[in-house]
Amino acid sequence: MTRAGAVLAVVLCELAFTASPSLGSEVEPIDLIELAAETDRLCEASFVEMMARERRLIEVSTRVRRAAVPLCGDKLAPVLGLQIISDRDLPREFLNPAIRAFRLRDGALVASVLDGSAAARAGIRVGDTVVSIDGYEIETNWDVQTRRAPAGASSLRFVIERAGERVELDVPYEPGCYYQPFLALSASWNAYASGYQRSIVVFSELVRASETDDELAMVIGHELGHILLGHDRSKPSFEADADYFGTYAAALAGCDPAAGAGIWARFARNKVGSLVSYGSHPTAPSRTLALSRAVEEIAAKRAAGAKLEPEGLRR
Amino acid sequence: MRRRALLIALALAVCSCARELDSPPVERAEIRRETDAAAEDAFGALFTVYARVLAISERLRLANLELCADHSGGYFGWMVFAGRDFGSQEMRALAASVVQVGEVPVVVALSPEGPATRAGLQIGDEIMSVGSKRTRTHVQVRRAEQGQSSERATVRFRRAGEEREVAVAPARACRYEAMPVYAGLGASPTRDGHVGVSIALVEEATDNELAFTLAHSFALQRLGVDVYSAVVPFPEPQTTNLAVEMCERAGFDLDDVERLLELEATEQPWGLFLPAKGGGERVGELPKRIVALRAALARRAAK
Repeated sequence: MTRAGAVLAVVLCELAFTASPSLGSEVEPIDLIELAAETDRLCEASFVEMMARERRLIEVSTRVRRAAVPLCGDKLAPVLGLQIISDRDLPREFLNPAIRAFRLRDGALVASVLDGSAAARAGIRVGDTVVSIDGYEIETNWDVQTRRAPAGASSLRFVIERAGERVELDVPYEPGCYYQPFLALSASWNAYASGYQRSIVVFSELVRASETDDELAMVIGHELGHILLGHDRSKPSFEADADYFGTYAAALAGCDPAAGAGIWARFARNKVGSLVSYGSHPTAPSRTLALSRAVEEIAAKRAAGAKLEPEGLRR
Repeated sequence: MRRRALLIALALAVCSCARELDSPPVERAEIRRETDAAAEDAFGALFTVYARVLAISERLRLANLELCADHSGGYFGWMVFAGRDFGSQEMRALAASVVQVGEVPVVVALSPEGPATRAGLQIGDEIMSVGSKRTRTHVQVRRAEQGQSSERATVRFRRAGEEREVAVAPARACRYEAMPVYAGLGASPTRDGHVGVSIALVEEATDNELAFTLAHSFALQRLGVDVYSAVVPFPEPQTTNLAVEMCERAGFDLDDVERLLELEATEQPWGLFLPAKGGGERVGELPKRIVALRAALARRAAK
């Protein structure tokens, strides 16, 4: 629906409630032009904030996915270091904000390029549109982030549209653990991994609640664990294993997993029920304890110069 | 048919190729101790939130008797909490062992100058009955409390295992009661007749912001809005105007409260999105509230 349609719908809403009960006093109705402008302003503020949150998710996940390669066997995929927006992916209310804030056009637009990433070294710039990768037509963020490298390839061939010109660039294949995380708009503290959708989905509220990158790295490492260990559903032993794997992944990425434990304590405060049960997950206190054991184990291995790898991984 | 289902189940069991890791073990006793410590911390934080919600909502409820008209009733100035208010058996057991909140509702917050405090009730007292009504949940306590119209109400309670009785002289207040809940960032009247305000919001909000949020839900109750209708929008600007008036009569300053409304909207942008085809969820309530608030404050400034 267009912006005009949105305004019309708001007008209809206004007509509906002028007939609803009031305390009897005469009131001036809401100024609809001001309301439409306010809705648009809030959508833009929200969009800009969510883009910043997604960028942080990509930054931290890039670190974790690259560093955890030794744990991921052959479950590897290209890590590009790109943040992409596409008109095909966005809720319609985010289109105008995306046009204003990021000059969105048709197609997969490069909204940011991480410093030092494979994409940055290949010369991809903010404002480019990705037309195709290795000959596959690209329309959405998903198309870009889940593109796999052919066996033996050392780079991916990007066709880019820049200022009306087509440019071909070779982006070096930098492997990282499966998959790229995506941000989903939701108020719950949650994230999930989907092998079928080739994605890790982290909810916007959980990214906000992860106050430090150490905490966010634990979340991403946990979801990588689910994928790598072949978990096909959620149950307590799977969740415990994913936590254990995630602790190693975060440690390899140079994050401090002990600091990451803070998120469980806050979770318990935010949702007292997580102290005794949280669906198929272990309770918050048992996760805190298991994590501190894993942190001790990692510290001992570091001191002994041993390989940082969860026990039982090579079985 | 059954055989086929069995075969499929067998195939799934064989195919499940999840790998298991050998994480260091954690003893049960240790988990128990850690749980108790975390629970004490979490319940402590929860009761602090209760006390704050009680203090802010009390100012609104006492100052607005005139606006609430027949929506008023007895008021003790307390908050109670019962094991039964928790959904799960485990939570009840935990609440009972850590903070001694059992099957009987327990006083978890008191207004310093309120009727319950003046009658000598204390935090931790277990409320057995109010007036002639036996009380087992916080909703029962609230109904009994609000139904008090006499000058003295007898409250039976237990303290340190000993049963006692005390006479409370109820004040009169608007019958809107606010209770902390877990979900999201916001507040809304609930089916139980109170207003649920999210803990995240209470922790985020200043006193003025919390007052406006609560007043808006109280105004919805005052106007008799069917908050469970999925399609009828809240009457605006009427609800906001009433909330502004309630806050002003209670001495809250609304000049900066727009910040919280903006945060609620930008953190939960789906509230700004038009419903999908055929969907009926409410939409755009927060921008309407912001525009109505600005207009109300501008009118006040012009006066």
